[in-house]
Amino acid sequence: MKAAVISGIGAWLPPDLVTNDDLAARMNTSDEWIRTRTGIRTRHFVSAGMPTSRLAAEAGARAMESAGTADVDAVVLATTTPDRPCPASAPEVARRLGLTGRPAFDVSAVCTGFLYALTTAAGMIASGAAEQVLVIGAEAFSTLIDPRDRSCAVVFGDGAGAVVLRAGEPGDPGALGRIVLGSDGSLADLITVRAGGSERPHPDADPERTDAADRYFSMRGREVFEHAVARMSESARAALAHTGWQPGDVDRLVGHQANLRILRAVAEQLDIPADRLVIHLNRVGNTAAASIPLALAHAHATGDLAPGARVVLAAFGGGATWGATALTWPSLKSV
Amino acid sequence: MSTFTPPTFEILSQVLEEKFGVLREDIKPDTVLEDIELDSLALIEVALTLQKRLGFVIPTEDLNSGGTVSDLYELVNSAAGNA
Repeated sequence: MKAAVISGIGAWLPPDLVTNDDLAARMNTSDEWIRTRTGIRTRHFVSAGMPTSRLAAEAGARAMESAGTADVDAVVLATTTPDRPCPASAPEVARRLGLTGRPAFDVSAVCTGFLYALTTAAGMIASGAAEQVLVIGAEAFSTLIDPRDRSCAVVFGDGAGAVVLRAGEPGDPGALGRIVLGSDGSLADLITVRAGGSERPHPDADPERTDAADRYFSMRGREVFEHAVARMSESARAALAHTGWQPGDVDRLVGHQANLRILRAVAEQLDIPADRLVIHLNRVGNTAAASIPLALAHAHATGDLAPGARVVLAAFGGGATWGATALTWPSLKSV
Repeated sequence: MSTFTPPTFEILSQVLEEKFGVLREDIKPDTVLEDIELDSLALIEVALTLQKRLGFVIPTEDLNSGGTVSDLYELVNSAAGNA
């Protein structure tokens, strides 16, 4: 059975950089408050009308250039913020990349979305359905945020990261290990946009029945914190068990970039020294499904992630969903 | 009956000092937790660290940053008693 091997990586951030001071000018918060509670200093926001497919295509093009390919057999997009509720955004991403005709679809698992999308793509490769798959995590998450909700408005950011997976052998550098995934639907209210789906109409469609605030994202921070630490730690342990690595063997822990304090707590639970954490949220905030590929791309570009490094990826997100995997970082072309 | 008393308060003080930079002289029974910058997430971090070091589960739903160091200590001790 063919393994899925990372052969290229790319990222893109929308140009609009927003500092904590910029946010403090718009709402009752401060740089110090945001930094000490979240570790975030800056984030990027899409300009009005810039769709997720644009971000995804920019990152995807860079990943394909890094992989040295102008074609792939499929495009899988992980996103919480598709261009429209229907249809999926991946076909439009494929069109923007000159890949019209290729299979393209979205995967929805919020902040765990990129790991779910990797699993899907790896399955296509293992089954022989594809030789190369472009896997993108992209979010215009700021479009879900209530501008009056300062607890969420300071945390999230927009951006996209992507990898190309190719068919290879299990021992190849960059080969994904077993991807451990899980979910618990009883935790759906922890991380949610309540209205606009089949369960509850969008408030514009039915103002009598739906609160205007329900169109926006909401999160129960304290419970998310606890579940995130527990599930990311558990799934990372399970992923490590499949590789045979001990926690001390891990060179870089790339957790979903939700909150610096969650990342540190996960490292502590796993007995992985905190200096092995890849930290990117200070620059971009929480970019949901885009956070892991963005963090990988940044760490790769800066040399923080070197070829041969033993890497663990772990995420927790809405659903609730969670997952982890491990791989040895390959030698990739920087773009 | 065991006469062994785990040095819980010492461990609690160590965690607050090492992880959160709380000065020892501020760790008094009647110190209010939010006055030493321990918000609700910080208390969960404290609970997770203590759980790992002490080996038993601390019920985080009972943690409240409006409580005192003494309340936190009692909570950890009762969790130890139930372990």
